[in-house]
Amino acid sequence: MRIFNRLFFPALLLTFLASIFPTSSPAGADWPPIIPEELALKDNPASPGSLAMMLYREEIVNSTESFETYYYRVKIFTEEGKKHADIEIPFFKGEGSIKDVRARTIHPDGKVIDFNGQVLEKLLVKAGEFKYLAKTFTLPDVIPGSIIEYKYKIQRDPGFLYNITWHIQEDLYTKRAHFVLQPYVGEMAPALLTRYFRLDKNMNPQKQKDGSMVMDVNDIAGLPDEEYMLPEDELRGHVEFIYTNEDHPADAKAYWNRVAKTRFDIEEKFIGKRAAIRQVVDQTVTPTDSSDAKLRKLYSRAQQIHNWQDDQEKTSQESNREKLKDNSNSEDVLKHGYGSGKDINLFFAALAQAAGFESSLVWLSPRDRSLFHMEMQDSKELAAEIVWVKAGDKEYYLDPATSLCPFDILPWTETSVTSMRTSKQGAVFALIPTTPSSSSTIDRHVQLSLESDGSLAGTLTVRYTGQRALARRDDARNQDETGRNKIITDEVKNWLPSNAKFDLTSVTGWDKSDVPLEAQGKLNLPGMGEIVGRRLLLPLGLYEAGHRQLFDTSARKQDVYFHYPYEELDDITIQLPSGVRAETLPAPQVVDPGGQLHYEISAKQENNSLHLQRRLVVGGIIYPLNSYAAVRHFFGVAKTDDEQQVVLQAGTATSGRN
Amino acid sequence: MNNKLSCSLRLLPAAISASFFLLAGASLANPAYADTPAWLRQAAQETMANVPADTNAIILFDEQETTVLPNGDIETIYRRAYKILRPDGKKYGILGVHFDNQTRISWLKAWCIPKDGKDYEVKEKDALESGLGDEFYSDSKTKVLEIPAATPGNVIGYEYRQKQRPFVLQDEWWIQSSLPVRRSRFTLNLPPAWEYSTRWIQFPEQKPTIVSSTQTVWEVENIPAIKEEPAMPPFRAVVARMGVTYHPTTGGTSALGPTNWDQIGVWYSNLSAGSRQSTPEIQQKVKELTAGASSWREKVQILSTYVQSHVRYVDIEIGIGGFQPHAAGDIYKHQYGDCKDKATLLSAMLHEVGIDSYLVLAQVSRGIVAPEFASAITFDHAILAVPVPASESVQNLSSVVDTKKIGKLLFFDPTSTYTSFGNIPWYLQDNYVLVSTPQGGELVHLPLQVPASNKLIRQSKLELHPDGSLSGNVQETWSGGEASDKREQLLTASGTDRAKVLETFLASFLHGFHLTGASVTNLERMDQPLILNYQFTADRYAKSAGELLIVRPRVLGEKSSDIAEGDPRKFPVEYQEASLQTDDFEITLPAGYTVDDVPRPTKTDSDFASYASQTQVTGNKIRYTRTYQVNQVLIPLDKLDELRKFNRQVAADERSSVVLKRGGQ
Repeated sequence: MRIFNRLFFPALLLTFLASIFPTSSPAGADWPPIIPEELALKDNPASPGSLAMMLYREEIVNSTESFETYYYRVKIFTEEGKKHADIEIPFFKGEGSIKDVRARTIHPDGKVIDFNGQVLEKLLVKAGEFKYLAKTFTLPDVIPGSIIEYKYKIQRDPGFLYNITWHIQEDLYTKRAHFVLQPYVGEMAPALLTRYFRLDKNMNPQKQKDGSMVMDVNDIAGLPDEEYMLPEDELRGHVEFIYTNEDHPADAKAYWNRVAKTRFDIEEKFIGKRAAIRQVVDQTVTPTDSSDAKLRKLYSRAQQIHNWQDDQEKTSQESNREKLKDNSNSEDVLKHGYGSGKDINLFFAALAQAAGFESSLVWLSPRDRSLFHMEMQDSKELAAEIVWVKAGDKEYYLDPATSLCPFDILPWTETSVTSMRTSKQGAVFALIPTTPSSSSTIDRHVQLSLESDGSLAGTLTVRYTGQRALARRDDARNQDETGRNKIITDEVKNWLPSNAKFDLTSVTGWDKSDVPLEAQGKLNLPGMGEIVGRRLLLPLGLYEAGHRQLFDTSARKQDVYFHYPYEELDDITIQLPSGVRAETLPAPQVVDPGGQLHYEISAKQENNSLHLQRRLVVGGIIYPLNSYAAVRHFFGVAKTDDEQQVVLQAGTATSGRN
Repeated sequence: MNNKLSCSLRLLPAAISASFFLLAGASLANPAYADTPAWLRQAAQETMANVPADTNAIILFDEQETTVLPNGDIETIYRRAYKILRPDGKKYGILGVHFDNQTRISWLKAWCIPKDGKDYEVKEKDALESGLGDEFYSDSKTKVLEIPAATPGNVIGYEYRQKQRPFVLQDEWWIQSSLPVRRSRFTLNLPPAWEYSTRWIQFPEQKPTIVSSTQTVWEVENIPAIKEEPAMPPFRAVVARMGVTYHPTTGGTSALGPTNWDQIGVWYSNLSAGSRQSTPEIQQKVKELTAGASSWREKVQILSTYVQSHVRYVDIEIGIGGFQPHAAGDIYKHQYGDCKDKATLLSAMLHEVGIDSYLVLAQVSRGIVAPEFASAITFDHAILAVPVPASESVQNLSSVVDTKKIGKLLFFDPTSTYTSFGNIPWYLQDNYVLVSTPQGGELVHLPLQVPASNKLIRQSKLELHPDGSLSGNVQETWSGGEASDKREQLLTASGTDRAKVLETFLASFLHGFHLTGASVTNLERMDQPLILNYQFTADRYAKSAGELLIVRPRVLGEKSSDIAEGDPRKFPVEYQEASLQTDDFEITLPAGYTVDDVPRPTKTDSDFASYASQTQVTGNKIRYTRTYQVNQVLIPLDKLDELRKFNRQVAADERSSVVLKRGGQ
């Protein structure tokens, strides 16, 4: 019996499958009775104004007999909701056949229109023997108020066992859903591991007397698409059933200790105690260096190793010609001068150990994809690694394998996550600290002169640090100078009014991790100041004036999730024309609502110039849903304060009253 | 060239997402001996001067060799060579070649000549196949081949051969691309006793080289790239190209395909005639729907609205089905179909009440149908035209056009869900359509509707409070095309997302605001104006500065555009439709404040648009009113300076403030 793990397939296709493969009942069986109340339903009471809702869906999987049946019943409320009557069922050729497709439409008056059209087979992708197809059909005579239902059966190859996912939460609101899994009970049956994701406490698959797992759920809201939300995989409620030959003890710690020990042995074998590594350390550090200085130098040395995973994707012909050799140990990495990310991190750990530090790998789940669920006992979740080093009492978490990542930060995806350090004794869990907001800044310094027509001209210097710099360096990694300049120019132009001009004059720090990424350019802002009669009005927040505020809608269904804490710092000096002075300056504003959010802005006149300063701090990563109103209010207030105006008295007055 | 009436543009090969296919495991190519052809080696020696620094690649050589067989079958060889200049040019290493049941690929290979090392070669067997497209179902597929080492400095190229039995004996040779083209060639091989004609579009006519009595060659050099500009006309409308039509010199040409507008009209009328047969079910439905209708107009409106709103748009394309409608009976029974299906069913239903109608071929982008090049392959959409009896008044029917040959016709697009009866959607206005009748086709220019047919009227009464906050009520009345867009926004939003539509709009102008109430009238009554009523409060709307309060009297709405700003343009600006928009904001001032400064009125007029605004003070109220009218949708290059100036004036007005002073006079 082979266990077929669908993770084999590309993630994109899996996502597609997840959205389409949810419901049904035994194909060929009679339709369940229509409930008059559902037929009469005009709207979804739990979510008024819905285009459609899933009244019922049923998924029955029989692993022993290798078949799955799916059934959907959908209520259409509006003309726009009729799009849900176009059905596409994707499948991989060779992974079973879809049969017994049946469907029908029921009008609000009870009239039944059976689907007797053609089920078309549509090729999505074919590569060699690999074929990804879809059965497509569309239900007839669908009108608002209709119920549509359809069902089909998938007959699997009995020679394979397929892992199963119950998709509890779909895009449509689900009124009722019923899931059944009849696990494989044949000879040499593997263990069945169950994993739960984002389920309410009352949702538990119930084991039946016949060994099947059954779960019924009610009133599951659709998953909204909102800005600044956690990765979708983390939000969508689902249950996974994994057939595994791996031992999963009752105590998760025992599982992870075993994983950690196994990995540790492999890692230590790779690191080894090698003279060539010792030699590199001797050439790189001096005995008088502090521990911190030594580690920085060794980190820098490790970053000189080329990470071939950063290269643009190559075809198999290119890869074959390149003939990169595998690294079996840390000395190979040194000899070849290239390696995978893991090779480079192990190379650094080898350097650190050779320099007398304790060091090993730390495994984690990058949070741009999903979070680590320790209790799920899935070693594949811990798919990325960084390096732990202990120097005296101080512990370092470092990732030299990430090109141009500064010594003192980790990529944001590797921060604020629970990690597992490998050791001879087993797993050591730790929370990787978050990079403070002050380490990831955009710092803009502007020197401008105000012209009598309200235009501003001068220079802009922008410095990116920490995660901000790393993200831009990452974008620019495989770019030429033209492409790199475009990254900066486009970003600066995006801050400014559309008629503004920005000419980039220099950028430094693209290829260095230990200095800020700094860009300079000439700025021209026509019509920035508004002449009103004898006055000239100038907004405080030069960059933000025309942009919408974050979180402009009042309703929200998910926590707010920022990738990392950050700060925006602005320092603007505006030279005033002769004879122009500030009539009134807005009072300095400080907004400090807690939750590590902070905003301040001020303006003052210094001799013949204005000096504006602004600082916005987002210090947290996750803001729970119940704090959304406060978060929205904070950004609204900040936006309002950005639009405060300095009132200048022009030299000559032109009254336009009435 | 493969065209079908799907109401959506087919992806060009270059538009296929490289990332998807890379993800899907496109790199299946095995090492192969590279047998790089001479034409590619020769092309690799070419150079091109004055290429902009941000050019990702240049097309060194592009060739299309079309061989027409006596039975009308066509074999075409395509060859292309790129020099990759920048990292972003890697995407040109993903080749997509279309095929379907009528077009098959008989040969496909691609190569890379790297700066250093041996050449690469990949073949058809290394390609992926994909049927991914915008259609719900289509037999159209694409072979996707990844060419190795498409990196800066390297030259890549490909060659493929297609065989097809086209339904029209026409082709288009695009000599221009989004990349500069060093050399482009079109070779036409015709059987003896065949002839051709050409039409040059967006390019001066070029004389061919007559190689032999059956072979003709055209060649052009150093063609600049078309760089995408915001709001430019569609690519196909501006691309330099040659249309070519070929047919036997003797005998009826239409036997092998239509070659002029008349023939195309007849061809399509015949092709669709069989589909328009009615059924008892259709007859019954028509009888039921028109039971209370007595006039021609009532009947047409009832049936048009029925097909528009009840028959679901589903795009299913199989073979010539791309042009041929399904049977009206099937469309009615299933209550779904694509654009030509919906037009066909409506035609059948109208016939039941004694009203004739004609299927109309259309194109959803302006500027693509060239009157001088009669061609069915330029169309991608179908609508319906209904002859208007002489006795009928056409008042309030903007979609009635007096045609030269057929007379007054009412045009209706049953696929455009939110366009009211008597109007045509914006994309058909100032555009050509072909009315197909059994007697012949007539190319008709559908005019741009007048600004007043697309209106947005916003009226608001607001109150400014001493702390600077603003609250009040806004009423918006939308009609015509403006209403269509708004309806689509609201009707496709579910539940609370409808409030988000309003909030997202308000957030462009207000911060720290709360939408406190909203209602909508006539949302699904396409024949009535759409009315939105909403209330809001906005904290600190007026900015406090000492004794002053600074208020922007233009509270909502943005008419200015930055479209003419930035780098010099090479193409006109295209707006969606003519429209007339007015704003009226009355703001009651807080007690104790007087007006110290008000902005001057703004008035600017041009051929393409006009704008006038003013702020008036009456007692404790300020009132800002403005009128914005768009007259033309295509602003030519020589008017762009004027457009820029116009927009800057509008933008300045929109930013302008009223200064209030506490106390004082």
